[in-house]
Amino acid sequence: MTPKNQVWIIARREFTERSKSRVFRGVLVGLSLLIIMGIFGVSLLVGRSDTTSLGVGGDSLAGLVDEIEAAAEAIGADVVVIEYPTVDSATQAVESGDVEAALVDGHTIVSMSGPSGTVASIFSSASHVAVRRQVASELGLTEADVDSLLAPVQIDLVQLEPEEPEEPNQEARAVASFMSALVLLTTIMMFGQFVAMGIVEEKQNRIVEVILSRAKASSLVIGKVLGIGALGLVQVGVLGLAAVIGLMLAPLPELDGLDITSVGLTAVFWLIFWFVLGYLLYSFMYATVGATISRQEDMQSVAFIPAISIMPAYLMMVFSIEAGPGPWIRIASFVPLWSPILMPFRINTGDAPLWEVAVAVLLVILTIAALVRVGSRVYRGAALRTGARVSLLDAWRSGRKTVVTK
Amino acid sequence: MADSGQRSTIRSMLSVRNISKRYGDVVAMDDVSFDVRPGRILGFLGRNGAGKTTTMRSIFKLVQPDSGDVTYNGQPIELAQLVRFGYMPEERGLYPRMKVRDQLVYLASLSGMNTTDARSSTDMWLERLGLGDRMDAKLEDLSHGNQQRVQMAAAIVHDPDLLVLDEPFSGLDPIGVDSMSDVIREFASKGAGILFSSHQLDLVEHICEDVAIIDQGEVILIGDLNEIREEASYRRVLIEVDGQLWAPPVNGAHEVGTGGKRHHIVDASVDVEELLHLARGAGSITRFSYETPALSDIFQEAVVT
Repeated sequence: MTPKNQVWIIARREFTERSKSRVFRGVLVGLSLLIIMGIFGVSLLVGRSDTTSLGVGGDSLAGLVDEIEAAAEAIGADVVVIEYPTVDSATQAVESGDVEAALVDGHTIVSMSGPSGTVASIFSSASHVAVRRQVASELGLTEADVDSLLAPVQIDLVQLEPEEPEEPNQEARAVASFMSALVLLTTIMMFGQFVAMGIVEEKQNRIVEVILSRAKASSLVIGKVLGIGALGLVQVGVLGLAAVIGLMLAPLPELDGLDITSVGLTAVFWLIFWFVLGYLLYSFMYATVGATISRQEDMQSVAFIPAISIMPAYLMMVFSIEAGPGPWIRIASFVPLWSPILMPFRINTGDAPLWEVAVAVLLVILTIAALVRVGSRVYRGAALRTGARVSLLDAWRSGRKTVVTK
Repeated sequence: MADSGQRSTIRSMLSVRNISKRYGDVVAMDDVSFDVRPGRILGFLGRNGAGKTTTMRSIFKLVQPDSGDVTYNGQPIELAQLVRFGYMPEERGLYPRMKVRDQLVYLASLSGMNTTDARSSTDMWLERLGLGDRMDAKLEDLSHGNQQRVQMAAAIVHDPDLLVLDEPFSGLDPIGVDSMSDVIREFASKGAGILFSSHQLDLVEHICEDVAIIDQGEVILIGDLNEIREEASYRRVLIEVDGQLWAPPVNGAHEVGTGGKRHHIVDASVDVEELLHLARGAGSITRFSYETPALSDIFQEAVVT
């Protein structure tokens, strides 16, 4: 029997016993469905095309509808023109929102609160053309002459102050980054708390003495963290896949050359990657503080420690969405306690060079290694102390391993 | 199994040597030493708070003594040794919501048994302890008595070479006491060393072969129980002549006890034959008993002085 085998056996028990929980399974299935349906719903809203509905009513010249469509096409607008028999019916259509604006009697634009510039220019150019086309035909010009006379002039735009070359899905990326950071935050805290609860539970049940008489304290802590973490990984993985499936199924608007599945899978990869690191870091912190209490009722008095450690990362992320990325979020993303939230956020928003990610990962791993030692020692010192809360320092002192002989 | 005459030559399995531990001003263990030998049952006796649990926890390194050491077959106690021990802590505990069978298989695996052996050993013990039909029940759904049986199984399921049982009889009904005694004797007969603590002396009198009496953290009496009793300075006699309690007319004899428990104490040097002879002279003997002191007598004397 080696400590490694015991870690494996302990982790396996944590995983299998907890995965039997109906609550866990129910939550997993429910959340997956929620994500798929959510993506579906959002895409229906977002996916609606930019087509503008316009109305035509009253006495108007023949061919006006064609001219409106041609005028819209000339400036690249996507319009649908609906004809109404009377001025009143066209006005009603505007009131009810069926059309954005209507051109009545060939010269009046009806709209709720003033037509947009685009709509106004489409209507005015269309009615000009229609009138001229009629005058030209009355003058006896041939169809071809009229067409060449009225051919629209192609206008090129020169911008002296060009806008930022904004990515078409910049906003979507920000939302996705925020969502995945939120998933990370909640799952890290949720499964970290499971670790603390599991440790307290074993103290409360007193089984800890039975286990520690045949396994090392560090094996029990590490096994527990890994077993519960594997369960967390299953949850994050399943939810991530649910999101990818949702993206594949949903009727998304055409995005030029963007492979939504591969983008989704990349995001899921980073999500899982940072979940593993963040979970390991925080679960050992939860294990350490959980070891110092003996009753679930005392949980609140210690669980705030990891909670206030991770919260600044969340707040900074929210702030950076509002204010835009600043140098401070770059610095903060190197703080091991905050990296698991801020680094994936920066990766998703696209401003984290690979070397920065690598440095942050290294720092997080070093912190985890330190927390494993601290956690195991505190646990050894406090596992059999029941009753009142044991101070961390006290547990640390009595957790020393070396036996002084003679 | 070796008889008591060869006892001193039997090697020690578990050696506890001069361990001491103090918590602030409280001395939990003061230079405690004893040996557990293969095939022998050592009763570790003391009042509540005498230091029994602290000593047992020291064996498992659950408590770090301030000084002294514990060895097993001459080796310091490491994981390789620990997994050969079976421990029943004073504070009973298992996973309430885990199936009985699953947790025993888990504990056996943790002690190094492969899964196949762990399963067959679990099933064997659960059958023997009368829980064959409750294997797939959750622990919390069992009666208190049955939970205690599972706790017992948890200490022995991995077939340990050394059993350390902290108050194994507390909380057991008479049937439970019997099956616990049987298990202890069975393991001893297979050559396992057994250390168990108790403060219920009359209950363990016929199980202990060796005793170590601890008081205020200090071992004050240790040895073969029969020898200790033989070496006592007095004997208990209960002689009735013609249905009446008869006072032996020997030097130093005196009456003790009250009601139905009245009897006499005589000096150990008084010859049984002579007592019998004297009693016959007084009339027809209706009752005659001559015994070494009970464990409780020895305990009382050791602790009080």
